[in-house]
Amino acid sequence: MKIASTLYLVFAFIIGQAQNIELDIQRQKTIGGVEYGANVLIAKGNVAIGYSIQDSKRKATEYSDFNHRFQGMILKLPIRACENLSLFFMPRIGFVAEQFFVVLPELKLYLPLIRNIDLNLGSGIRYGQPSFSLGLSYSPKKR
Amino acid sequence: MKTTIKSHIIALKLLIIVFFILLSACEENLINEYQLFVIPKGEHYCNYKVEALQENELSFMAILDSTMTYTSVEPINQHDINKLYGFSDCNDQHHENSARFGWRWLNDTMEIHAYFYQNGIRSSILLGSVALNEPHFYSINLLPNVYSFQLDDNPPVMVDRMNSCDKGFYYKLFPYFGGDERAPHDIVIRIKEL
Repeated sequence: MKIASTLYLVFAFIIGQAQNIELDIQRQKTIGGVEYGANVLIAKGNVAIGYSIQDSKRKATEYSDFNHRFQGMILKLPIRACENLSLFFMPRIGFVAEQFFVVLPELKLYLPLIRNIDLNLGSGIRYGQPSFSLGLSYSPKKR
Repeated sequence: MKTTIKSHIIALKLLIIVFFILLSACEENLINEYQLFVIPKGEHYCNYKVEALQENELSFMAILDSTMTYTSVEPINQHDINKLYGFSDCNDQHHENSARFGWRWLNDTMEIHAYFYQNGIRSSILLGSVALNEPHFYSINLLPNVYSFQLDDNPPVMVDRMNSCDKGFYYKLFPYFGGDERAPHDIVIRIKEL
């Protein structure tokens, strides 16, 4: 209960401080197949925190209860933020299949496409192996 | 000058986009290759790595070659079981609750064992033997109350799982030589996770 209250207060504080919201969708190519995901982030300046979900195209069969759905927290920490090209460290911390705790580090490059929409290109670690992602980010307030 | 910089930036952006599209499209999956694990002479551990298990089945192909044959200094240590691959159970140290495949070179045979800890008590069960230089199939299924070990097409061997925790960190356990003795020479193991 104490932990939940503390988390609630921390999140309430973050949301209160937030200056912007960001929505991401992405396709990540991993050693375990292609996965699709979405992130909702609240940002203050170039730093953001949010919720991330990602799932695989592969589904459970009668022989295997394949479940690689990731759900958890995502952080967006700037390494270099410029007008034309920004690089972020975006680790995700959460659970796969609601059971296996994982930390998924990723570097993402944001390239402005059109007003409010960025193309993001990522490279990270998934299943202990390199992975590559491609996605779009929408932010109502432009950086 | 400003126009030149701008065109360079656009070209760079296009290059990066094309590079990532090529990596992210085309093939459905990235190619899953055999990973090489080397236990250097005089060591127990191979190249250091931390990785979490992410599903309730650890299946892999492994190729064991002649570098994995050895003669122990103390004859009794020839019976020690070396560790191949596995995982520690939910939020537990591997000496508390874990499941791994083990191997030993005994009587000119490469024996494969189920090697596990149940509430701190270590046990092993001989699963069979494998030929050197050939890929073999290994699988550990993490079921609610049991670990199910399978080697090639042999019937699965079930052992009780003592850890009742469900949600947490399950870390993978990589190749290890020993027992009491350290690797007498470089040991090379090829593992491809499925």
